[in-house]
Amino acid sequence: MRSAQANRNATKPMASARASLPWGKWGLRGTAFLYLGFMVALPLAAILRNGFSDGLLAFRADVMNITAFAALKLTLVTAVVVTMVNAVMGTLTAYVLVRFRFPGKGVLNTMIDMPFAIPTLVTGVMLVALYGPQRTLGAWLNSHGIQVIFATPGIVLALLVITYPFVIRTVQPVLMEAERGQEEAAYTLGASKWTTFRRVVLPTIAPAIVTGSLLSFARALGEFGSIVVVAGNIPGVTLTAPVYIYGQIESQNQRGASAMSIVLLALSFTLIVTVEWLQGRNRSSYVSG
Amino acid sequence: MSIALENISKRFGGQWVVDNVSLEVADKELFVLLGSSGSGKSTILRMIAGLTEPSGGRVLLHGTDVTNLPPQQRGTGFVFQNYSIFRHMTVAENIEFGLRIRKAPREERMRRREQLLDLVGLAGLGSRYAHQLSGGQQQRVALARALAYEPNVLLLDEPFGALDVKIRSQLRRILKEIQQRLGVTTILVTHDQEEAFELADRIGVLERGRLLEVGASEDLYVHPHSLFTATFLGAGTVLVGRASDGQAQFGPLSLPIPDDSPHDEGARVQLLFRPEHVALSADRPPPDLPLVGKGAIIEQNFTGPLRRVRLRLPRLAGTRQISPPPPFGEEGLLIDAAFPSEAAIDGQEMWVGLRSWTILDKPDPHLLVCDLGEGPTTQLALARLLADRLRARTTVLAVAEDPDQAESVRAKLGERAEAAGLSGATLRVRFGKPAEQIATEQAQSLYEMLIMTPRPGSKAARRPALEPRAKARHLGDTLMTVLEHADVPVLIAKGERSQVERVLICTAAGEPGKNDVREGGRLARRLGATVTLLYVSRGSDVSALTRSHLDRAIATLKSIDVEADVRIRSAPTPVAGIMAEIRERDHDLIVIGAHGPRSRTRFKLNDVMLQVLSIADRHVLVVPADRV
Repeated sequence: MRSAQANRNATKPMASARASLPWGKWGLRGTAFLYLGFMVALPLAAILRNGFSDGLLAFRADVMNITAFAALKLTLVTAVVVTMVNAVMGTLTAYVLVRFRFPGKGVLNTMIDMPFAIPTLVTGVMLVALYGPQRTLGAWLNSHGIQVIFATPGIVLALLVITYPFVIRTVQPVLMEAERGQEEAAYTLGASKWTTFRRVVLPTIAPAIVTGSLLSFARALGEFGSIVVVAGNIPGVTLTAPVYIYGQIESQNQRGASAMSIVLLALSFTLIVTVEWLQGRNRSSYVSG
Repeated sequence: MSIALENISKRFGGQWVVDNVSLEVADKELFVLLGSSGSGKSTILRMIAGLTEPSGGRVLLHGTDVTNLPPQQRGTGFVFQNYSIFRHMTVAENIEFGLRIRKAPREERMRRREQLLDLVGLAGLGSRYAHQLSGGQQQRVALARALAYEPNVLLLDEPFGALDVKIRSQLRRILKEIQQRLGVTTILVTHDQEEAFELADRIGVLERGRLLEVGASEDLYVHPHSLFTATFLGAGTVLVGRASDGQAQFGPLSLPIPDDSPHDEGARVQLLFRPEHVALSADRPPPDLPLVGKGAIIEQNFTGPLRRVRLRLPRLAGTRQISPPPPFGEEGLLIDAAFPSEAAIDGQEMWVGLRSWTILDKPDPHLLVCDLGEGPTTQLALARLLADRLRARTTVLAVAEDPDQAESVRAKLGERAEAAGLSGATLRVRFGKPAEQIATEQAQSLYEMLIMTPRPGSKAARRPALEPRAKARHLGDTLMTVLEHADVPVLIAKGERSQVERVLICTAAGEPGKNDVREGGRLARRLGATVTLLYVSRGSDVSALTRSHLDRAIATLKSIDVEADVRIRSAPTPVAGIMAEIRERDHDLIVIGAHGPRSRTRFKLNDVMLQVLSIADRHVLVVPADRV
């Protein structure tokens, strides 16, 4: 009652202000658009112009040369591996966090967001400190023929740490919202716990898993800070696409850097659009259900 | 027997949610478990399905012990209140789920699915998803899904709770029809008494985890055994009187006590009559019917088929009312009556007679403990002792100023009760003025005794010194008001004693009744305590009147198998005599009658009971006289 009154009071002066200052809303919208253009569209245009400055063939040569292609391939492969691990482990962790009670649950729940808070360079340093060839764990693994730091496993490890929260944080709320009753109904209908998970729980949380996985994939594509420390950056072996771009900038090859950037950009953009679409679909099915 | 529960129990966090329930449901029966929320009815259902593990007892389905089997292997069909339809599957896939799990061949699945869609009236909707269906349709899908693989038993957990009234009654009819056609043994859980009546072959009434009564709807309605069943299953008037010579006395009204519910001489008796069993007549008392009295119509309501009337009658001597719950300060007797609405009722003053009535079973002992939420817990410790010895149920009551504090008050109350060893007690929080709320609580249920402590430093200190109650000011306003209004003995915990081994019953010639002697004696007997009967005389000689009074008191005690040590002291005042006696013999508990004109008037200045209560550092049991 009181709030309705307040609303009415609040809207009246605003309406009259709008009537007397018709340029007000256009001014606001214009500012927003200008800002967006300045911050996003303009740099985007600049990089596109840079990348394609010598035509498509040059662009193709920039991206498909041996070093560049190897870097791109390494980035994609590690990102895919990381995404798959995340999809499984993230779902598992989220399920454990939502469905079970255990001591230390609160602590675990807070710890999950830590990778967001740690600067990625620091993550790299942490990994070197743990897996470096002179360190205990690193030395022990080395003696068994497994090299982590300055090798592909190091890259995967760093990406895993950095993308750790994504799947957990997207799946967790969906799982919390899902009725426990559906699982119990499946049990009484004779479905084992695994069947219930596969046939009842998984379909419910699948969109969330995909969303989280795509987000972590996008994040893995662009990761630079931790990789620079961990990977060793040997061209053709442990050089990833973002580090490759950095190298091209360092050696004054703006066009090459831009070309690779455009490829990463296109991938990321596609992923983000996909995620948006998935989430929108998810929401609408919840609304109508 | 399709379903048998043997002493099944469930404990959640220190509270018995289901307390030793045994039940047998026959083949093809539709059994309804009826109880209010928190009565443990859903927990029982979940234990049958295997979704909740019992703390004790056994579950048998068709003679097989399934207590340790997981839900998957029990073959029960379960329908949840919130449907729990699989949202990513079509209706058809939902229904076929159980058959798919059992690897039924495709043709059979299809045949069964169509059959069930037809049965629940959803033919043609097999390809829909849950969000394309209404709530009633979703629940029908849930029913079909639970029936698809021909379950051993069907369990329904408040299946219609989330639906609106019209769809509810429609679904009830469908359910009853399907259940009868398939002949599947069914247990349905509900809090809706009307639903229970409409569906059930038999009803089981649950209260706080205990199965109180089982029977056919009509039997339970007309002849309930317990107060809870009587008031839960419908409206009606419940009066409490006393047993005397095999008759139940409610003032001038005397009704025979049936042989199958024996009552001790002098014990409280509960009488129930339903509104439709009340006969009214304007001119003269209804002939040949037991008469309750003559009263005025204070309310009249037209409710469609029935006309509901409330009358206020003069209070019956030695009788109190539990239902309809008397508002605080109500002096009269309220009686509800109902008639077919076409019957005209003229006149304001009506004679009230009873066409039919039921004497309820002897009530289980039930203690009410009032806790202030702070300070000493002597009253809780005392309550625990009594609860153990009397095998009584306990309710711990706290009164909060406003409902916002409910959670914190309840939590604190729980902690204090737990610490005092009263973990099995029911916690109750009321809101408002403590005295009123305590008096109302004890008036609306049948408690055997009220246990509380005096509160030091209360508002009473501000009253002018000439006011009659000033003398007992440090007892606290709340206690004073409760003592004035209590219909049951009030045990005031004073001092530190947690054992009661020696009981002193104070008596004086010419007192209103033998209630104090009897109540004190009964309590002492159940506590295994020794009893001293004290008479204080002014002089040294004992009159014949005193002698005969004492003889009567001894006879009263003898009639309940209590041997008492009789003491006659001479002292300048009764209080001085009582105090000297407790000092000398170290009694733990003083029993004393509430004196004087007890028609809810304030106590006299020189009331012996109040003086004893003020001075003594022992527990005091104040026994109200029967109201005149």
